[in-house]
Amino acid sequence: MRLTDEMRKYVGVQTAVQRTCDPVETGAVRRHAQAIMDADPIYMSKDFAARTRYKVPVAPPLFPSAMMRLPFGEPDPVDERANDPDYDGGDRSRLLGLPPLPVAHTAQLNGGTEIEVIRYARHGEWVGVQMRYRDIYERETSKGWMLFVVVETSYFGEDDKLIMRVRETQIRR
Amino acid sequence: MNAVPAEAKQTYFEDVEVGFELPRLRRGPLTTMHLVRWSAATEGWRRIHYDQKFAIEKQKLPGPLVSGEFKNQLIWQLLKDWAGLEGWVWKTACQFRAMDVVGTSLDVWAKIKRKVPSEGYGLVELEFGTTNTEGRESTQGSALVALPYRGGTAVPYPFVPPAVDPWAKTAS
Repeated sequence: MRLTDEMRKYVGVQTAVQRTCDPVETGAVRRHAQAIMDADPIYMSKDFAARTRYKVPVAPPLFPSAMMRLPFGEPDPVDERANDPDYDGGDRSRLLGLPPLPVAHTAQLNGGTEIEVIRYARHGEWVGVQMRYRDIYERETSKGWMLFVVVETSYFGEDDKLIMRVRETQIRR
Repeated sequence: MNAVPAEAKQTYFEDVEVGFELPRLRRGPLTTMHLVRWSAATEGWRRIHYDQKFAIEKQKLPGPLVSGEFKNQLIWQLLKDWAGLEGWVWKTACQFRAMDVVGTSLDVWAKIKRKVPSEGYGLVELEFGTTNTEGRESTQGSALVALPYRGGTAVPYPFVPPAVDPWAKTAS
């Protein structure tokens, strides 16, 4: 797949800052911590957290990146496309309205990630999210030309200050 | 799950040297149940991570894959626990070099590459990776971790980045 002028126009396109559909829920924190097999007491113990500089239970460091969920009542792509043999299960960026690139049915792999964390999200806290296409470029590999799409996602706390930033490189072939 | 002891040992900047390797974190064998649990916890439904038929027949992969997002969680767990309650994992940058197919185990490792004294805390640059059952380095990357000075105060929380970012010249 080659980079086109039409695709280049997407560099810099971004969404507004949007609040996630749920705050940081205690149950979601528990499920997340269990899924990553990390039983750090700062995630769930009020007594333990009170003795730390966090003061209250916090979510795992990268938890905000899993907060882009399908809002209740929105069109459900899983229900609509579960029987579509080409449906790959979806792209969370569409939940925030980042327009998809004009490429069809391409395999997508995670080519790498840069992460910066300033603080942990607290239980009960609402988080704001903003996404943008930071860069799009192409490279010739042993498997042919591939597209590298760098998507930057910024997460903000209730004080509107940055709590975390993720730059993910998607490889399209 | 491994719990962090309530009074876990704090790592100080003066205590570590270039070349020091952190105690490894091992997870696995990672089964389809682990991958489905991760998908459910995050409500991420990309089929290559749990749908064997789709992964093999449609995407021509050797099987369902452990997601890069999941591997990042393990890397941050290793670094967080090592930094201790008064340290801070500030940044990581990594690339996924090989696929980790369901059934593999992952050893997460990290080694100190550079020490950068800074005002109020010390920065430690580490290289890290994940080694799978086949012995392949499936993830490679670098991290910046802030550690308190012995006798000093905890690293500020929320974290206050240093005046000079050691990665500033290489950041994309």
